[in-house]
Amino acid sequence: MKGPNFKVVDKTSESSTQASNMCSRVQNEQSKDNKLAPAEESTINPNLSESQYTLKHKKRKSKKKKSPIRTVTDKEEVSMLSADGDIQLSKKNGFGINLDSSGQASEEKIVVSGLEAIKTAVSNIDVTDSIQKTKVYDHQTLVKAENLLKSTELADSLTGTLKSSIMSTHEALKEESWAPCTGAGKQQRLDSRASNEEGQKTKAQLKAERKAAFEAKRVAEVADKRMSDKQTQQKSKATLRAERRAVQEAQRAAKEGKHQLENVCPVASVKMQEVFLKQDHKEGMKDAEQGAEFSVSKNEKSAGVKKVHKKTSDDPRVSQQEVRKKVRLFRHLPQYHHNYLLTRNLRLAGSDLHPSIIGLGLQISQGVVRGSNARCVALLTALKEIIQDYITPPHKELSRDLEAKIRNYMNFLNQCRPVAVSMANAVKHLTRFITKMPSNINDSEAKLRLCEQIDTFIKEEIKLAKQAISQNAGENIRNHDVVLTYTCSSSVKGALCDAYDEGKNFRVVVVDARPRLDGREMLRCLVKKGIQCSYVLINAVPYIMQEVTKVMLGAHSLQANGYVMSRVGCSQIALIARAYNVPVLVCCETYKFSEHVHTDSIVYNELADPNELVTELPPNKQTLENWQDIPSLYLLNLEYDLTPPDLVAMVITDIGNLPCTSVPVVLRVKHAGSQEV
Amino acid sequence: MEFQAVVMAAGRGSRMTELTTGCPKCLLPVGNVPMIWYPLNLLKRNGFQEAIVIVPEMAKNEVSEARIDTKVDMKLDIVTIPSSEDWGTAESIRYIKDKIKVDVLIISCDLITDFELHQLADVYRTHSASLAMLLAPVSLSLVNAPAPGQKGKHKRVRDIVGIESHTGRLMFVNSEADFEENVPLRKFILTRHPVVQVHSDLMDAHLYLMSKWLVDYLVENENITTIKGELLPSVVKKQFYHSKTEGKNDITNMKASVTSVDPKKDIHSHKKTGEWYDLLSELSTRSNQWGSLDDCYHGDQVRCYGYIMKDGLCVRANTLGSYAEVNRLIPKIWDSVTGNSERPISASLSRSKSQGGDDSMIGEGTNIADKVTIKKSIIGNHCQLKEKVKLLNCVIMDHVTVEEGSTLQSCILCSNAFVGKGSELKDCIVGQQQRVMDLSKLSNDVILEIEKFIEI
Repeated sequence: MKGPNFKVVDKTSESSTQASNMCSRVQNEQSKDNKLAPAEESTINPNLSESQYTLKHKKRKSKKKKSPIRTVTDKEEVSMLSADGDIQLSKKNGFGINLDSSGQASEEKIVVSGLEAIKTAVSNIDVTDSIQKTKVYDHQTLVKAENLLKSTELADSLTGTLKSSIMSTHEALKEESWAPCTGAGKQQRLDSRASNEEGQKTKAQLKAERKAAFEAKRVAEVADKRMSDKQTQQKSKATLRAERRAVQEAQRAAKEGKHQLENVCPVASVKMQEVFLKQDHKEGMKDAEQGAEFSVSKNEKSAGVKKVHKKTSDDPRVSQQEVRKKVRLFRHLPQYHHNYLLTRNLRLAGSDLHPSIIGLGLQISQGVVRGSNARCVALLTALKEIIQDYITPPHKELSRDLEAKIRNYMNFLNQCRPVAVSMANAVKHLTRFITKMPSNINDSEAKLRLCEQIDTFIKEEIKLAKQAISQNAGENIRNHDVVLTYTCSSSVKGALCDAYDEGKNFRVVVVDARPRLDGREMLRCLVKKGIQCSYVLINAVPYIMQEVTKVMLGAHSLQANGYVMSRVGCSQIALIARAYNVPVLVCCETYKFSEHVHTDSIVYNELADPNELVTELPPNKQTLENWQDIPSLYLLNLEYDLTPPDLVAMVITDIGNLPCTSVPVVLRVKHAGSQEV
Repeated sequence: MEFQAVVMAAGRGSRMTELTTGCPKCLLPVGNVPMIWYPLNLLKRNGFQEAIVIVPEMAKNEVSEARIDTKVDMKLDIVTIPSSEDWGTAESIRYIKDKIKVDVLIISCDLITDFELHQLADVYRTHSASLAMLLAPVSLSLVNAPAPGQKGKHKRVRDIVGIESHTGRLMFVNSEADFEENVPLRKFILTRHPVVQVHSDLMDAHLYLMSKWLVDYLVENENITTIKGELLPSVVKKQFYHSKTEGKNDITNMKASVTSVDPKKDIHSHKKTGEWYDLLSELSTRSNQWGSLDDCYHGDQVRCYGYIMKDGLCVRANTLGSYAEVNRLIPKIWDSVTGNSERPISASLSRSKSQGGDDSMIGEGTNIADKVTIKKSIIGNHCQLKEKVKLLNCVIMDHVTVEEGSTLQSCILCSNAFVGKGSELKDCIVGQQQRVMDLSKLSNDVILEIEKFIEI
């Protein structure tokens, strides 16, 4: 476990000092926690190990200012570091509005302290499991009592001003923080959180939020009364801080919620959301109850949990079915949903979304446009169309308005299917260009420049990169080689075709896998070209590997730690290749390099339609048509997996053949380059 | 804007001439609102703020008098087509070509449905289709509904539709009359689309989404007169023929050069993806096809799709029988087909003033005397129903007077009609401003201008 670095950004106001206090306390506690209960490390550690990259992740998120519910991932409770990062970054990026105004600044600090509070809560709760541990903290809590009182006032005043505003974020937050610690309720909370992610803000939510606000207030009051009781103090402290955080979130959510309601169609129908939200609310109540009961015996606590179990079981079957069918390990990921609901609330005329974006979203979700390069090109062409049709509204600035619009579009696309790294990078590039656009040039000029920018991006980063890759890859293909490739990758496909055109004499083994059988597309292209091919499914790989001399794989993205993110099954191929001493070459354009760090396929992945697994192609018969009704059956259709760098001999990129580990270098150079521009 | 809406309301109602002599078809009341209100309401619910409405010239005044636009709160661009011309649907579209700037949604004025348009639009969007159409299972109750005033069954012209079931791609759409004994299907089409379902029980709902270039194509090909009869079958057929070898051989090239080359150019200019289109198709890793080594969609540039309604209600009030039946159904289905729209005052449900049930609608300003029995009937505005009148399954338009003690069953009474005392009418149509004398006993009769003042 690494002790996070704390930097207090601004000490001018009270709340920030509080924040720093809390930070240091959390640090202390955690280090003690470490010593005291090494057994607990296992629960915290996996989360903490993420903290390094969570920083990056968080940065992106805070910049995007996504919905608060989404922002709260289970990574958050750990990343004290990132809380600081938040502020630093938000200062840097202007955080949307005027930073110098003290109001805004203090709000941010509240966020920080709120975050810290939750973390404190986490560590506290860990500890309260055994009374002995709690005692260790007693003196600390006493010291903090004063601070707490102040914070209570602050929170109360804030709640007062925003009585009607949103509180469900608070619950979500709470759930987050409690989830890893309390084993019994964990599953449920994860459920509701996941559902929370699905159901974004609607009017229905506001209702639930009001209720929740009331709930939380009550808890706060109770907590105030019992200030003398140390343990309740801890609770109330946690709640209050969470509350403050929630208030801040609420403001943001209210703003954005209004915006989103107008612009982006909700993923789930309102009805479903209501159901989910009811559940959320109940979860929140449970948290509140637990908060109050925590100082009491364990028996009571478990009784409380039972009670809630009963409560949730009241929910209509629909939601339960949905919930039940989430594979436990992958509950945190956005679940696959049919696109039926996506366009339901979109108008056929005069929609806020540009037609090309709606079309693209559907094409991506239906798999008409597939492959991360293709998706990126399709996105960029759609954006180009949008920019050409774009007219700056009066009293607005192109750079700001267009950026907001694009963000909105990306939101929609993200609902259709989680956005590929390639797309995200391309949009990042484009928005950077948009924000840097001088404000004094007129619309047509700006549009022209943007379109040019898009064209150069497609040309340089994708088209020419593809050519460069096939050139580099071609050098690695010799006569009489037997190249094994897995499913369909556009860059591998191009490389093989080009090598064949150069007159090289080699053979290709196309490995394919259910359910998508993308390999057939690869096979189609290669066979059309006249290349000698074998086609096997992935279960025949160990057999076929004996005659293979090279493995060439495509990649969805290359992580900063050198892990290759690619179509699920690639790591298996790489592993078998290693066993047979066959070198694995990965083809990846540098624009798909990601600054994220992942070490497993669980934390970040994409879930595809589980129905694909039980459907025959063409769909004449379904083997397990009613799989949703079979309680003991879960279907998991993963999209990607990660291949560790030590299984990959070389990455073939547009800037040459590199080892996996050179991703950070490439990114740094690229970043420096873009800074100069 | 993604789509422009065009409402085809210039139909003459050739299958219900008895009713349309005095009233343009699009204004015939269904549930006491003009028929055209339903498609407009559907459009409105799907976000359309304006629509182009094509009406015959002679009906223009009546249509504008009806103030439909205020009823649906939309901006309507009412286009009249000269009454001297007997134009088909395609010709009407050609006539308004200058108004069409984007893809169009074409809807018929007699369509009453609870269909959610986005489902069809999704098919259209997903496949960047050239044309998408709505198909609905024919509801037997409507087809076999007894038509008043008609002897013998109305002969229904069936459509034969071949559709690839899992994608919705149309293989052929033809009227029954286009085929003789067999339905031919080319072998290469079957290899590429091995699972084709052939339906004869589907109704074309006359709801089309059409690409802009197809309108341009219509403009260029002046010999096409109707959308359904001519444009649709030919475009669907031409999907599979590409003109790769320009000017090389065969007669189809002549035709194909118009459809396939132009669309190709137009699709690209329309979609503005021209420059990167090739790169995109090169990069795409989609594999969803059989039977050929061609690119995505077998290289077909023109793609037509159909969406078959799975459940829900879709009715076209284009024959006498279906018109009468829809009127009977409308009190029950009102909420679903109008998306819970507030009823215009005239369409409010009957009150229990007399013995009318929930299955009836009674218009504004209608006087109903005592002891009147109303069942499954629609009664328009300002009607006079005198004592002891019995109505069953009737459609009564505005300003109709029914005198004492009359019994009407399954009748349609056009506006300003008069039914004398003690009459008994069954399965009759009483035309506009017609009078039925006292104590008449009629069944299965049509009373029109020619037969003025029937006396028995």
